[in-house]
Amino acid sequence: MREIVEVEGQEYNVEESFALYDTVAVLSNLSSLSRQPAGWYSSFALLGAANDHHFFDIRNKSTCDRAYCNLDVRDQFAFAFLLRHISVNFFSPYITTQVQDTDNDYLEPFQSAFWSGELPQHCGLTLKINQDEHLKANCLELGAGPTPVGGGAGQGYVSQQPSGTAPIMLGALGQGSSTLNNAWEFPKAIGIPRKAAVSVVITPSEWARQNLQFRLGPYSYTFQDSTLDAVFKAPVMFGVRVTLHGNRLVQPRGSYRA
Amino acid sequence: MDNNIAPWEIHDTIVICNTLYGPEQSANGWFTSMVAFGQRTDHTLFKGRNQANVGIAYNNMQSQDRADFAFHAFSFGLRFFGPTSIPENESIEGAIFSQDHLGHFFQYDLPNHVAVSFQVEQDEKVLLNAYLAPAGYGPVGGGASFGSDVPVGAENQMTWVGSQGTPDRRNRWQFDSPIGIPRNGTIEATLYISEWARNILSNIYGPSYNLQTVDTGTPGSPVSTITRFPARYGIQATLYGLREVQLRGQYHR
Repeated sequence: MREIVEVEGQEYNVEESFALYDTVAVLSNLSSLSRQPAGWYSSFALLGAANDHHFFDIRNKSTCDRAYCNLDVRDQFAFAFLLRHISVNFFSPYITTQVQDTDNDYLEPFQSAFWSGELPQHCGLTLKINQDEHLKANCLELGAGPTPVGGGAGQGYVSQQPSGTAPIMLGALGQGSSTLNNAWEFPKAIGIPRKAAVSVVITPSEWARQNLQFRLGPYSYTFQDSTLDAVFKAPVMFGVRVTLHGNRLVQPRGSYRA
Repeated sequence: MDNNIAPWEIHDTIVICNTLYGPEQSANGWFTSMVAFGQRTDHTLFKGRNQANVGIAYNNMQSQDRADFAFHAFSFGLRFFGPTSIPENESIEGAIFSQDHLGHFFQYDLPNHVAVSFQVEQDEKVLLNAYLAPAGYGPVGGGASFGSDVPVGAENQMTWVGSQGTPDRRNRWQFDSPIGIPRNGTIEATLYISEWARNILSNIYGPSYNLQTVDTGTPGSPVSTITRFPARYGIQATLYGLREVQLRGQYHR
């Protein structure tokens, strides 16, 4: 191994590149999931009613799927961590034309673009490690890491708008360049001790909260169902994923200590 | 005796396609429908296939579940791929069904709802959201057709060419220190599909077919006929690094 961190004489930890991430999501069928993670919402209105949204001190990979959170402990770091970068990704459905559950004719084509392209500009982020604030920034400044790239378009059926066969809009939406390097870099790695309390709080502006509270949805994708008998409506999910990039310090096997 | 060090990559793939060919039909962990794929909570790579049963395009391992040689892994990547011709069509008893956006969902939305872990022997080295492990390669571009204003079945065709993250070799999950994998060591990448995503996949039709033309005429009298060919989806995991190779005549265990 290239780097070994000496700790207490003969004992040492090994540095491994690692990322810790946590997600706040909005989806209309939240109540039908087997687990309803804390801090997730079933409508934009409920999301907008909250003043702020917490990450890294409220969920772990047991309380929501590992795709959304990879923390072992809800409110402490399970290992020492050298924090080098932070990124925030406002991800939204790629199929940006979504349909209401109750009305097939109503297509909402703008929510993904608002979520991924506009909302980050109106949210602030605070990073706190134990008692110290290490970052206060606008979310759009921080970079989102990899997101979809590429695309194409079709014209659709002009004469049948606005109906179920109206043109479907698609969008390769992200915040900045779609690379892992597109993240806020701390000039010097921030050492986070094991069992430290780390929190990231995203605070939308009053404008953003009002906008969300007056917004219906999220709606659904439409697909052919598995038997081709009907159109299958699947609720979409909007989310905000905060990622802490850096190195974790891992005890080698056999070098246990308290 | 020293081994020779050579740049190398190791890859394995999960494929979802309604038609599997030859030895693919017995490939472990491959699927003929999204329903079957979506009913599994997790999927394993580097653990159940080799190049003999799925072909080098999808796997370049000789052993199904052990490292063929000592390997120093520098980076890890994951790529979700699907058809670039959209929509997909299915024709049953004369009725045509069009599944327009499965490709978009699978390639660009699904990775947000999948976690991937990479394990060497007994140690889990990383656990990441799939978008945090971009492959560093893949198509970019796109296209559009002006299309005719006609109903389903003869609609304008669309191409949609994209990737997860910028397809640049450096845009991959980089291990801070190269991970040494011993010869005959076990490696494993596991995909964890979220419940939300499984609810969709296990209810969705497909993969079905893309349209393409074939010549059904006779020599000298070509006849262009529209036909359907199975669309193929997949998830490919890659490890980039250096392998240690024994020089010829330098046998050792």
